[in-house]
Amino acid sequence: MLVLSRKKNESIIIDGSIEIKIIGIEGESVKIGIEAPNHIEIHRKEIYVAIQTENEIASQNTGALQTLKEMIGKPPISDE
Amino acid sequence: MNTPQEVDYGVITFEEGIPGFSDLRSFQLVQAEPESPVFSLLSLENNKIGFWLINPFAFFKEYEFTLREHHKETLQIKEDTPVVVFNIATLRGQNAITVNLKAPIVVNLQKQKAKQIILEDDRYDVRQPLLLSTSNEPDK
Repeated sequence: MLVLSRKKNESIIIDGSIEIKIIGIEGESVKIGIEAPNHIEIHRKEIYVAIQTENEIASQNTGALQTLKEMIGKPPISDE
Repeated sequence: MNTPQEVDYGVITFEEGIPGFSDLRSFQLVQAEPESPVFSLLSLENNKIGFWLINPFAFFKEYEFTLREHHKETLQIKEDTPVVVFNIATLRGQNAITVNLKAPIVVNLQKQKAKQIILEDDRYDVRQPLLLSTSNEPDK
């Protein structure tokens, strides 16, 4: 892992197109500004990991169709 | 394995894979029965991997999100493209189902392309409990 030291308002540039800037530092918390092209997806890592984990758990469900169909059955649509 | 009442939507391609399964691209999308909100998504490259999907609008009427431009480009979605949205359902223990509302699967039905999108919306949870009608509540 590359480790760089930056002060408030200093930036790093990745691959000529992604800029990561230190906006502010408050105690344990660092505020980061990111400018990147539209197609670059940026997520908080814990959310991405939570989705990966959830997908892995869900992928093991394939034997459970009957259970799921019985539990869900028809959608409980109550039109008002 | 196929039962006659299933509705086969054919092979759907996830060009970028699915988080946790980035090497899997091709999945068979099947509706459990006509009008059912339950679908299955089975990997054609690894027969041990599959997902249960639900049509979120059957259960979460207020569910909504805006598809960002670059997702539309990835999925080649235009004004009149037929698009469907699913969410992965997870069976947890005997009587609980949770639904991943945080990361819907968006499908371009015309091009058979799909992507699992991660929403920035804090209203939606990775493990949203699916509340079912109590009509066939199992015995305690």
